[in-house]
Amino acid sequence: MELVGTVGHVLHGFAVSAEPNNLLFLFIGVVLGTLIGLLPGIGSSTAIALLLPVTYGMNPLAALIMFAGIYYGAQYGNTASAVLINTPGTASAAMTTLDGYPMAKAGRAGAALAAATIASFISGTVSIVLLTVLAIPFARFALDFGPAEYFALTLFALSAVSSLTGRSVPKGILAALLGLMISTVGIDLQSGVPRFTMGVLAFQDGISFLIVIVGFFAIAEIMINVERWFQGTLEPISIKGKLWLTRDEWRRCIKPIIRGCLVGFGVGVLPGTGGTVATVLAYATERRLAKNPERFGKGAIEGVVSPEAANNASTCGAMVPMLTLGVPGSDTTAVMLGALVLYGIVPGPHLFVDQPNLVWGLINSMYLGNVVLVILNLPLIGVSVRILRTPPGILMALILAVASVGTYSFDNSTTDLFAMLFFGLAGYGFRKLDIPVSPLILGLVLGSLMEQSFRQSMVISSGNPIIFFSSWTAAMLMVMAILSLLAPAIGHLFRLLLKAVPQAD
Amino acid sequence: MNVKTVKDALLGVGTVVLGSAYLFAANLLPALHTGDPVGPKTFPYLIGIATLVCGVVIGTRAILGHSHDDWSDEESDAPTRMLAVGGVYIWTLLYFLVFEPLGFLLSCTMFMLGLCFFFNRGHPIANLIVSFAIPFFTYVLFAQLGITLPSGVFPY
Repeated sequence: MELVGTVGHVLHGFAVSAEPNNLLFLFIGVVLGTLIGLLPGIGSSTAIALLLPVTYGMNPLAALIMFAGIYYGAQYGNTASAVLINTPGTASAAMTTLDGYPMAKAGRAGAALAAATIASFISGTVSIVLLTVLAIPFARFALDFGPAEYFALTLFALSAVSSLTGRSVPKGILAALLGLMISTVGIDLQSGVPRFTMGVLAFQDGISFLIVIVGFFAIAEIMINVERWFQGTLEPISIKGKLWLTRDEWRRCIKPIIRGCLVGFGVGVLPGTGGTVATVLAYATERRLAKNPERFGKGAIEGVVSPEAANNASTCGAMVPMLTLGVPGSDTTAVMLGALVLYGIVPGPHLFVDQPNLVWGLINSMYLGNVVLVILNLPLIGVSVRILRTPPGILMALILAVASVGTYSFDNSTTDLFAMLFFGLAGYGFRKLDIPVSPLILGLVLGSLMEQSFRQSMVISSGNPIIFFSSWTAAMLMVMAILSLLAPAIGHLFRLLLKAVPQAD
Repeated sequence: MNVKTVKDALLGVGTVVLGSAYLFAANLLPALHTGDPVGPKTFPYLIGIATLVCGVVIGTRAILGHSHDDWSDEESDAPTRMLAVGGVYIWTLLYFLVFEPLGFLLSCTMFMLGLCFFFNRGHPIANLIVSFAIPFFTYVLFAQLGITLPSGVFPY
């Protein structure tokens, strides 16, 4: 990749993202994202899962632009339910409730939402620049990967996601293994042997990624919403008072926004650590740096803008490993990666060489998306209360209807519907047993690539597994994969030792 | 032994059973080596063995009391809520069973009417509008996209 060529691709990406068709889907994406973020109980991964069947056969770039718009658009919308009804739509908005809700109770809901929107915009834009700058060296690093390195990379991604997402490493690993198991169903490409089809003809082509994610996200989420319905709904706080911040408040916001952005982006790049970890870290950083930390939790504006900035930056950060290595950094990017595979595009380091228009068109569309979002969201602050009043009963029925029609239309078969319902039940069980879902999605998406690279490596080495340690890159990735699984155990041991020291005194 | 310990112990046992079943099924696969030293069985073997180990670890940790105690509101699991989840589940299953015989329009409208009138009581007009409008517009939209949903009892 020559520098001049790269700059050319970046610039051409702007032209691509400004094509009318792509602009239209960008607009649809960010509007949908905002709405979905506003509605408590459905996340961006669910929304993308529901839309996948409709986009099948569409121009992949337009679909991806729309999905990305939903992804970062939802981060804008998320804030309103956190601030106005003290209910985070997703876990990543939980930190915003800490200071956002007290602000709303003090009659400053409008100001909290405006500050959050501006913070999201600044942080979003800065992190797209970071994404643009970082993407090239990342992709170049992985460009000369052979099958052994690629296998080591997928193994590292899986183990990192397994150990970082849930509260228990073995449960994360279990989820990843289940994902890999589902990926082995169907005819083996190399030998033509049908595997684990259980005699079902429809499974010969494998179990579609789409059915699994609609089940695990949409259906399971509805079941959780059914439970939540019995707890009753909360009446949103109405927006009164000044919408804008004082000069002093703006001055106090700038540094937290920038710090939140950097923390969020960094955390987002790591596989498996999405917005939740980013917002917690950003909030903790601000509280530690504050001159009077006792204001936090009582409606401090810094406590609203820093997690919002971090949250938005983490969505961009998560795109770095997804686009450059084919390893997603979050739930939603895992679903987007699955979409790429569904469209017949092979993810991985070669994406930047093979599909420069796709990659740069997508990245550059995000600049414009953030501008649209800030223009859209500031006037929407007043309307958001009304959208929050959407009856959850109607919403549940609507999501189930859309999920079923989408899944059916994918292959015109009711077998898919029943399979989706089965995965929905499994997803509900996952939540009840506290098993994280992202490792399963990742295992499912990476499973076949992982097996292929494993077998290609074995062909090269005539069956000797030492090949996975034959190059520095592969060996390093293998060691990192093992270490990331052991990290929580080592941390635990370390804490035990620390506890033991004062007692020994 | 609290509920979580029992749940995690059972999860461990379930995982071991699943891993064994998967290994058993993998063992039944023919060992074809078409210029490939490992064939179609090796990767599944590795997954199966890892699953077995994982199940043993989950079960052992549960029994030794290493399960995490900071779980969400599990204690307030009222039976009515579980009943409602089961009800929605069965209602959806029924909907899928009549999806092709009755056709999309009729089955989806009935499905949505049921859910809306149960979960959104006291707003009959809104429920009626949504339950009739959504299936209709979905049908039209999909027809525009060139996807024919089952027409069932209706001629088109």
